[in-house]
Amino acid sequence: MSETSASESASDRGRNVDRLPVANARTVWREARRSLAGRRWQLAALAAVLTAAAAAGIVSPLALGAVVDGAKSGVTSGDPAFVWMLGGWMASSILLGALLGAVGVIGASRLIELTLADLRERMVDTAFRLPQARVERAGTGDLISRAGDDVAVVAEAIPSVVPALAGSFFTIAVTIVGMAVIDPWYALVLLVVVPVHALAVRGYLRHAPQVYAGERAAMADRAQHLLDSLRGLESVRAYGLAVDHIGRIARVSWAVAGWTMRARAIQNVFFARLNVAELLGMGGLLVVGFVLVSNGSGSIGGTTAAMLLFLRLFGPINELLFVVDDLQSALASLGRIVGVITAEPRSRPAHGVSTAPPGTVRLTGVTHSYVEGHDALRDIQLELSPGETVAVVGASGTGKSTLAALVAGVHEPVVGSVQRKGSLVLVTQEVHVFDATLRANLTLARADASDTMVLDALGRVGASRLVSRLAGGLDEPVGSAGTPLTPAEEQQLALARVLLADPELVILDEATAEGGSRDADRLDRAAAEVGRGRTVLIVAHRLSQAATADRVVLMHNGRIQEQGTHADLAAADGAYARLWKAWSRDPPAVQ
Amino acid sequence: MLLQAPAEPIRTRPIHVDDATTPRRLTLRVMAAAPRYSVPAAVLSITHQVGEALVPVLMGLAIERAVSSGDLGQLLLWLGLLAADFALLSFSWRFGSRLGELGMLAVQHRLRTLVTEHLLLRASGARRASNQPGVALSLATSDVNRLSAAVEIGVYPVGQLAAVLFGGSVLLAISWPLGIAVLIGAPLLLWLTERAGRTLRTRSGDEQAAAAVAAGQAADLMAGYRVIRGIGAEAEASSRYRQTSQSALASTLLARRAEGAFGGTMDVASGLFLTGVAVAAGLSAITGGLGVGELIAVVGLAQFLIDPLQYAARNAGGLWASAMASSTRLLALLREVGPDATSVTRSRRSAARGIGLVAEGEVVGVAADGAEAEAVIAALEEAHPDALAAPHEAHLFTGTVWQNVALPTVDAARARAALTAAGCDELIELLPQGWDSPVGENGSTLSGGQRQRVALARALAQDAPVLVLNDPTTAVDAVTEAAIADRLRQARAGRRTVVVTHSPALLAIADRVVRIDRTEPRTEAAS
Repeated sequence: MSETSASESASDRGRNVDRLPVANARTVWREARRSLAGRRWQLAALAAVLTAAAAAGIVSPLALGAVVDGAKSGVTSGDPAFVWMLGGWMASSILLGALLGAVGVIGASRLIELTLADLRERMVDTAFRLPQARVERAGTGDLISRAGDDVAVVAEAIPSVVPALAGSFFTIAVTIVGMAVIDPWYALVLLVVVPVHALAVRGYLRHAPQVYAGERAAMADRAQHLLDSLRGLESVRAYGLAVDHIGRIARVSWAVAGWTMRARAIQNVFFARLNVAELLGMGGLLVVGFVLVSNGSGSIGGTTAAMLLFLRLFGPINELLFVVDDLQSALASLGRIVGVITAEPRSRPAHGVSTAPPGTVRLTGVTHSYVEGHDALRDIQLELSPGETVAVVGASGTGKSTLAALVAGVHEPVVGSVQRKGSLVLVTQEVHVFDATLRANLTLARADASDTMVLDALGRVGASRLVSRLAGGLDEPVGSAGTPLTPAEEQQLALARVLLADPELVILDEATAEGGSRDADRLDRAAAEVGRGRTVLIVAHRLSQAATADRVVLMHNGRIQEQGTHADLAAADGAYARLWKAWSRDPPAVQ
Repeated sequence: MLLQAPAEPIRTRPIHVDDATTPRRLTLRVMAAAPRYSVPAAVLSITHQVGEALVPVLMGLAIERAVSSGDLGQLLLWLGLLAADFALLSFSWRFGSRLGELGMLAVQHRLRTLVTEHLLLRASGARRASNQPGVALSLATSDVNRLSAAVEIGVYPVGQLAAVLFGGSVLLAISWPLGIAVLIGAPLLLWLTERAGRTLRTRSGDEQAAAAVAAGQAADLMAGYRVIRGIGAEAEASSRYRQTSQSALASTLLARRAEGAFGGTMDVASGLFLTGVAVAAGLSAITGGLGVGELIAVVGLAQFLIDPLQYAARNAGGLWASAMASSTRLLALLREVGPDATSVTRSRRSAARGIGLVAEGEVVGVAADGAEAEAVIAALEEAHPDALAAPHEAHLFTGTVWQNVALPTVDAARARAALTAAGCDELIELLPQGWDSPVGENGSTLSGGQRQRVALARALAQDAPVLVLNDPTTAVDAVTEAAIADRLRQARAGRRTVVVTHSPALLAIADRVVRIDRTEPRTEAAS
């Protein structure tokens, strides 16, 4: 998901990041139970099925023990019918166990997948209801990685973790019971070995997570360096940086190898300890069998059965211990998913200007800061009347975008009030083309829009050619996996969405800035079309946009420096006039 | 610690790629690229697996000779042998797996370097899928990883096969009919269940892919979070997420069902096979044909052999298949030919005609964009081979503002001057650590305009005799742009400069302006 991190951009810039909460184990459990509500009996039935499957699994070793005893006693009970009967028991227990086991694993996966789906849907639902300022403080990247990476981590862990847990846990438990049935001393051997396993797991968990985290970080670093050079390939070539970058990539690539080997070493120690546990178990069974058989209270068939039971456990125990870190990272990710659900969505306070007509905006004494003691806006008075177009100009970093965000309700002002009436749409430089059809990209703004409405909107922003250019027309997949659009087309798409949403107030924050310089005129015309009949606040990037606005607001250091019509300001001897003169400086005349 | 990765990459045999290389041959070359590691690893892997196979044999003998006889000396002897076997299997795994991993990593690194060199040094060419950074990244990471994993085929499956052969010969020694039954029956059984399970697994794979696509779409929806909030489409987006999540869920559940059914089938097959062996061995034992210890060994071995057989078949097959697929993709990349240069030449020529040669100290403004701009730039590069054509896309590399501008050939004074000329002086105060602030991945900690100014500074700092700038200030606000235009002139005094743009502020500082519409140049005079 390294592609998505670029969108952390603007709002993270130089601010204190305040991540969304992460839920603890108890909260995760509570929310998972809520998602499973009404399926309790399924859970109980599942446990019964898995226990039965495990129980069917110990029939064969016990039967083999009986065969050994039968063979030992030799001619006396040497009845082939006895062996055939045991064979029949073994065969039927295997069929039953396999059936129940499959049903159990499928059922367990199903329950867990249903829970995960419900949790992620609730997470996204909550994310869209959170105050946007809360999400902006956390950085949208945080949210994207929770919806993307964390959901993926859990989803990928399920196929290995669920069968291991479902199978191993019950198999181990039932095997201990089975050994106790042969002789409690055998079960005791197994219990004595448990601490060795526990120690092995503890040692593993103490060292492995950091090393795996280090390995993952090194891999991310490698991917990032590669992407860095690949994305900027033109610059790499232009500035002759290829050899330098190849060296850089080689260094971070080999750094991964170091981490992988460290992880391998920790795994090896873990395996070695498991081998010790296996040896102790096998040796213990031999010693117990030796004593029991010597004093006549046990048979070698019993020892054989216990040995086979234990041999059968090697796999499940390894599997169980081996998914421990998958399980751990899945739980950590679940905590981050559930954390969003528990973040309290507050309803946006109402800001109606009750008597005013729709499309009115009034900012009274607004001061805003992202970092305390560093005002981004200071003492702003501004009113927009319905249908009016106001352009905001000024150098970068003077608070234009903050003003737009406050009017749009993304942030609440620290001091003063922002009142607005009517529906609004905010379009920023950050356009996103969704990984869907062209139509779906547009109907997002109005779910019930007909094709005629969609085509009309595209036509009005000057993008009719886009539909004919794409082979599939409105059905053409666009976005990250579809046909790429030019920056200008992406911005036309964003403007067409506004037409479909049909709000009373439009805020355009440099919404037409990314196109090439000739596309600029076309985009400016589209923006003007979008603003027709609405109140428009436009953070103007080119002064040509200011020239056509009803009113121009010039910002300087978080304050409004000049305000008036373009004609008045351009004629006066102020900062705007100087700016306009530089901008409209006539290009050299024709020779 | 012993056998860690050294500080410098391990050298491997060269991996050659030429016209005669087939995917198969490339995969084999990769497998054989680090024999100093993979051969000892294979030997140790064999030792490990034989040690594992010995466990049930030793246990059977121990039960027969020690437990049933009550001889304490025998018990101690067999316990000692068991311990020795565990030591053998444990240590051989420890060193074998580490050597194998190290060899694989060395090959992987070599392969990745080969691919990166190709990606970064190849001539630029249009219409290649690998021009997309995402596609290229996946080639340099996923595909390189999968192809280099072929090294493991020569290590672990070899050990597993050795275990099967060893177990088979022990069985043959105990009872040749049983041995033959197991040696022929077990692989046959696996082959049959694999065949039966193949459709199930294919289906599971398809469903998993569908689930991954749906999950990706869901994540993409969140990537457009600000856009969704901006147009007030929260409810619609939430319901769309629910839809994709549910279709991902449906696919996943089908996949899980297929996997569960496959696992069940394998259990039935191997379980019934074991039962058959046990019944046959039991019948032979009660008639006195087999001793008790032999009976235990046979049953234990038959149980043990299932695993290595399964793994050998599945691992080797799976590793080979995925290595071959990646090998095909990587070969296509490594063998690609350069772009066809003739097609653009004509439009270049006509584009270049109006511009003519740029005189020393001259700043030429070219009003063009799109394909015309590209043609103009290509023509200028042809006319002035020493020209630096700064790309329009302001891509900054990981590092600080300063590191992005002060490239290896640039001295500090020139970098400072260039930063100032490009209007980056204000960044000293705006950014937390001034010019030493990291620009973030893709320059993401800077705004679009800031990014563009740093990129412009980088180009100016090169002090190229001929500099071609392509729309360098589209994201810069009008106030700053006017300032940059003036400083740009001074910074390029005495050099040749071409600015391709429609910006009035930039065109205003040019000595002459060439307007190009559909490659028809029209020259305007100097002021």
